[in-house]
Amino acid sequence: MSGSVALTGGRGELPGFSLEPVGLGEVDQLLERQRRQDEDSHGVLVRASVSNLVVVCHDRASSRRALATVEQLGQRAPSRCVVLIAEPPGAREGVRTWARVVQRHPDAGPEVIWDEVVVQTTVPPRHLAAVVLPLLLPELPVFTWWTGTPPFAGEVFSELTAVSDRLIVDSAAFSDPPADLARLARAATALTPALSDCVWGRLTPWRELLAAPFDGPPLRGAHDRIRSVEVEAVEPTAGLELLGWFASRLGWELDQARLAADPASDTWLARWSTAGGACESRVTTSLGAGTLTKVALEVESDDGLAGIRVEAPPGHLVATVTAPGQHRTRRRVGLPTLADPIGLAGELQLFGRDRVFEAALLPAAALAEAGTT
Amino acid sequence: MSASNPLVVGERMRATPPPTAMVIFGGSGDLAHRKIVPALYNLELHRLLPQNFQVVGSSRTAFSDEEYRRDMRKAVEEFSRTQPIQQQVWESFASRLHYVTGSSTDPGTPARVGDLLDQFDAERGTDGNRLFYLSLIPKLFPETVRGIGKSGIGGRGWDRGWSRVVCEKPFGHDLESAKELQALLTKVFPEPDVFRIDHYLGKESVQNIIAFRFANGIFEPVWNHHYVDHVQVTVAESIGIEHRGNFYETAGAIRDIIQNHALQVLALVAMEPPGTFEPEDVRNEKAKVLKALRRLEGEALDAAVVRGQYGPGWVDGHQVPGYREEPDVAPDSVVETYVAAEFLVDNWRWAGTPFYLRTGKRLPKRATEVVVQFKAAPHLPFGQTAQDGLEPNALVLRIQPDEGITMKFGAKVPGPSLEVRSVNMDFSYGTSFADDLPDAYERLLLDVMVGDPTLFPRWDSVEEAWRVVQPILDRWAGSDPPELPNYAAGEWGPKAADELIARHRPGRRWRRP
Repeated sequence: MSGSVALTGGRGELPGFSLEPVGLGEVDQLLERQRRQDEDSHGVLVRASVSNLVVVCHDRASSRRALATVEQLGQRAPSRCVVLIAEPPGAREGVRTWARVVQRHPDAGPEVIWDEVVVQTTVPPRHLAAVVLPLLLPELPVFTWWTGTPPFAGEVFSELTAVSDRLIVDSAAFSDPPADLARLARAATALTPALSDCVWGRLTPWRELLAAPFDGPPLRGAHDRIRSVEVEAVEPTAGLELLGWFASRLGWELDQARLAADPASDTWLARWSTAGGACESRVTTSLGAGTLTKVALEVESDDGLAGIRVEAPPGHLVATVTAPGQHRTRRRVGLPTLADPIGLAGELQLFGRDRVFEAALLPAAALAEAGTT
Repeated sequence: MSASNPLVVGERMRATPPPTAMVIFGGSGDLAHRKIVPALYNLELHRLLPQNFQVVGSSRTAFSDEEYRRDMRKAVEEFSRTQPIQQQVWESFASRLHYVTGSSTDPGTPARVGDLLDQFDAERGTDGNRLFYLSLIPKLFPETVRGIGKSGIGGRGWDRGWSRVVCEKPFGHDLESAKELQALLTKVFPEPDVFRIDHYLGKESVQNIIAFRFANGIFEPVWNHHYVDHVQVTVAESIGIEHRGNFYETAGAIRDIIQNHALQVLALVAMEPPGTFEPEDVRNEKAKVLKALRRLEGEALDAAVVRGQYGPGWVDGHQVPGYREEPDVAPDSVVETYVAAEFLVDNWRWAGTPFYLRTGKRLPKRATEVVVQFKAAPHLPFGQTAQDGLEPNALVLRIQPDEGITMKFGAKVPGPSLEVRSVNMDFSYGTSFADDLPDAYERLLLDVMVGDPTLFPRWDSVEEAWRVVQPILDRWAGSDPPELPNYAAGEWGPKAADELIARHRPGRRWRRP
């Protein structure tokens, strides 16, 4: 992959943005000029845009990380990217804007061009939408990726979500993931745009593998007889959301929950009432890479206790089903090779509400709050 | 995917099929190597196969399970769209691959396959669901299908799960043989369990014809004879017959492409909007179009169909031989490597609007596309010089290789005078949806497993397509061919094809892909 970057922006302040800032109203003209310049040397450039991506960062360092992520996913989900660094009033006054056209030649497939705009602003929170709106490409959906923990009760949050079609967070990057997950769940009930958590997206292959055994014998229809769920979670909110998924899809009611914390790990223990009796769950934080390291289910089948186990050796997942009188089935499947490690590209391809996630969020939050009550 | 499994209802995750045991008759053959097994590997890689899934390859070549797995590993390394092969996933996938040696026409083979399938049902939860893939040369179809029926391993009366059969094209050699094959198949399998693969219909860009037409409100009102001057369907190949002389000598371009791919694409372009996207609604509308195609006969047929054969020439910068110099081709062969034909759809929507189909080997480039050529504006006020560069609007649905859509419209040339010329507005899949497009076989295999026949031609469509093509075959069989070869490799077909498209309206021309 090679690239040419044409830029404006504060000299030396952001990698790749080398010229002076431009006015907010000049951004589109400047980008258009840049495209024409590049066309002179490379032929006609077609800007690829399927959405607007507003990235909310709390400082310049996080904006650099965000730009690196956008760079990696640009070829898969090319967007007009607006990186918003909202600083508290009093630092520097007003709005400073940098813009550039990014051109990439992937190893395979067509060349992709997209726009990046960085806005550093100290305008009052209630006017932030007025900063963002002129920078959006018309009529394309607006995805707002909030890096870190959003201020759920703040004016900034309500102002920016009001102009968004989808709010994307990564609960693994929250400052206090379990507690903030509970806050997210409360905020979600009043949220107008659709909501995504990248952690939920990273759980998708796990959910697929855990759901599949219930499609056929010997466990067809046995979903109501899950007796225990044990989760080892590198990202605690992933474990909580997975339990929330079981609970919301299978109609479980939370009977008891408690947090057993020790210096090495946290463990959420819970007991659920299910249509077929009761289920014990245990979510333990663990060290490692990825989202989860292991999920193990015990399920009562017609012939005795069956087991479903999904584990994550590097690069793939292994699902093993053992049932009395049956040949053990084991399958290894690929994990998505994500150009962006957090899985943002997947969220940028969702346009409607993710109702399964929203439903899972409530019991997940209830479990998370077991540690705080 | 089972609707009774609440863990999959409403999920963003993709539908996975129910437990399945798949049998590939012709399991060591070319198609299994190039398409079927690589597609299955990619489905496994992307977590789209069911947990309980087993494959049995079967053919005359003697293999143990391990030898078969090694052979298929090489095939996947060579032909998989995803590379490199993920070792762990391959090992897992390979453990589901099994092999039974024996000709599919040997009565003992289906029985041995059946024993293995029973074992899978008992021990590996395949649930009695059986998919029989006939990856065979057509002459082996009848005995193989009879064998399945006689041995009771699937087909009518099978009640331990579902059983489906997949047939590769060609579906018959002519109308009569297609009917015979259909009678045989449906004696063993009911029509809803017969899946005839036309891999063109599994291509994303072919499915996008339906999405484009019926998800957008602005095109359908002009999608008729009032606004459309004519439609072109082009299936152009730059390759020759690729060592398939024996096959091609008995097929020709009209059987190989027009009878199936091209007419199926025509049906998608011309069909009425279905009430729902339920399989039978879509298939009903497609069948109606094929029934409405005017049958050609006599001199009208001669005037509406052009055949050609390539001579020596240059393609892709290489000198290539003519068709008659290809291996296994008769030196005086009159088999057509090119066909262009004009068809009329006799219904209210398309009355009088010609559909031009063309296909050929050794054309200048590989391209499949549909061109909807609109009528010119009724009055152009700009003066002749000012509009010299202006052509009527055209909508081009590019199916391969650069999947996308092009709209041609007039725009003012910048400058002091009012000159207009045609410009193209391009949509490319590659820049809006940067994900790799799955191979057509992946989509179609999944559809068979979930029992969705939407993208598979139903018998009445196949029969109607043969009814369209058969008079042409008969006419050609009873008349002298034109002087062949009549186009050089690397040219866009014989001159007669240009004359064909312009015969009713001078100025009509084939779009150059």
